[in-house]
Amino acid sequence: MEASLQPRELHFKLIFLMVFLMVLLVATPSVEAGKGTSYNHIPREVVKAVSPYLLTDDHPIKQKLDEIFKRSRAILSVETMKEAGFMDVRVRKWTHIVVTQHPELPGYIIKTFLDSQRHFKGMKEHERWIMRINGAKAIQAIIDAQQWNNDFKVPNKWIYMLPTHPAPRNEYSRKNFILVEDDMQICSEEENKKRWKSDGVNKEKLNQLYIILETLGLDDCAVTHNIPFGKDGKIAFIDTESWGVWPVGYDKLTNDLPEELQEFWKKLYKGK
Amino acid sequence: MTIIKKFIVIFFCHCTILTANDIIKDSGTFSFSFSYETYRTSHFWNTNGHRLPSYNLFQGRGYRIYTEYGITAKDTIGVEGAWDKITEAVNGHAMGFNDILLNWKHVLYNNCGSQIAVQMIAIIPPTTEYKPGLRYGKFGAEVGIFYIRDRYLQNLHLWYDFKAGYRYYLGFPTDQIRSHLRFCCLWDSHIQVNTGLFLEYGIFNGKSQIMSNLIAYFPNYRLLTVEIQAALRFFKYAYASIGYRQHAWGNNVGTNGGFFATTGIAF
Repeated sequence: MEASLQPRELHFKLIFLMVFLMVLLVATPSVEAGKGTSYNHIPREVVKAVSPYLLTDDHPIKQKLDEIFKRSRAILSVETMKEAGFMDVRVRKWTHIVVTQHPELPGYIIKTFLDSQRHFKGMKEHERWIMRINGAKAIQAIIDAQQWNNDFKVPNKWIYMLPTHPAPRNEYSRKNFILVEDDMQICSEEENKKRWKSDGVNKEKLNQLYIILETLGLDDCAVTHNIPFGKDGKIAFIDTESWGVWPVGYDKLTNDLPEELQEFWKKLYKGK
Repeated sequence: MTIIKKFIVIFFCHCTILTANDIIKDSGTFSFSFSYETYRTSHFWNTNGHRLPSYNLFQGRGYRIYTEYGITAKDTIGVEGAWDKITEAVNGHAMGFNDILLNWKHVLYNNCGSQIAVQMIAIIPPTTEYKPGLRYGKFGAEVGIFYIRDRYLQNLHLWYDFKAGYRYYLGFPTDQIRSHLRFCCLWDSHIQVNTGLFLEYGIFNGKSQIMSNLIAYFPNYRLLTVEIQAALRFFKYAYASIGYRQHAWGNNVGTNGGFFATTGIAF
């Protein structure tokens, strides 16, 4: 699909508004939180806010998550995460999030903050997870509408509410929710850079990518490490927290593209 | 009074010539110092004084400048500025200028061998942004009273100073009772050793913040610090010192301690 011309901005903004409203309206409650469950340490309005995004009881890994997080207060610290069996536990530099996997949860990625961390930039973790889920849904809506599922993918994401016990000491900044998402089977950093420079990237794909980024204002996704290639050859949107941010810094992507496409990319985002 | 007598009076009636830590400066006396300090801990004391792991290695470095000037024989003004950087294992890092402290000291009583002075400090934040672990970002003020007493023991010049003060912040930080007791020993007019206890006692009328840091600048905290410092004079007006500061007790504050080094001039 060719990128639309004038009035460009109005066109993209209208599409963004439609997608945004669709995401809000279509999000259906998956769990009636509070029924038969005591979460006295979590304000009722928070439980209500996360309810539409919660992992359902019949989800394949729900039971396993309960087992893991009832054994110990795993998210207390980096050390307790490792002791609980999580792999490659490290705090990411810019987002302060721990991104990890567990051998008992194959096919899924866990993203969490630790109780030993203060709330990053004063925002509660469930607010960030909701933003990420809504961002992912908005991206998926465009991919589905345009039938670009052969070229792009975005993980399904859910919020998992940690059990009341075990609880951390009051001194720590207790976190109540973690983010669970599909493992996109992304390539290594080195392989990803190669793929972005290869003929796997063409004008059509760049057109499609531009439409997605511009429609949703995905400024953070205009870098290859946030839109890495999966092993299946699809481009995966893995950082969906920040959206609705314009202008998008498209120039960040230019040097990672094949040289013969760099001019095309510049003309595309500059609207020439 | 002859010059020799004046010198004796100045030498024996006021605190150290060696360092810039004289409580009250002589008229026309100027001092400037630059300090570097470090701090590192992975534990903290909670509200009840129990030592707990923070699971978050906290490392701090600070650079301070301090200058003082004796306006009159009874009045001394000073200003202190600082720039700090903290690095936390799980919270990233933060850096920036710390509060500017403007102070004025006035001698109320001065009899050879002892002094009583009052001090007023204005606390001016570089910005009003609260940076957990780095600064409150709040205006404040402090009033205090000093008592200074010196003695002679053979060829050692000994003295101590005691301070009692009250610090107030606008906004969420707790008010604090601030006090210190410091002992100094000057030997041969070139080497000085100081040791002291420094108390920052919050009265716990502060308000919790969602982004509080367990180690430093918690809204409600108390801290008792033990400090030891050795200073050496080189050349006529310059000196250098090194010291260690250890947190001895506290509530809602980090444990452990760190080194500091100072160099300065006083004339």
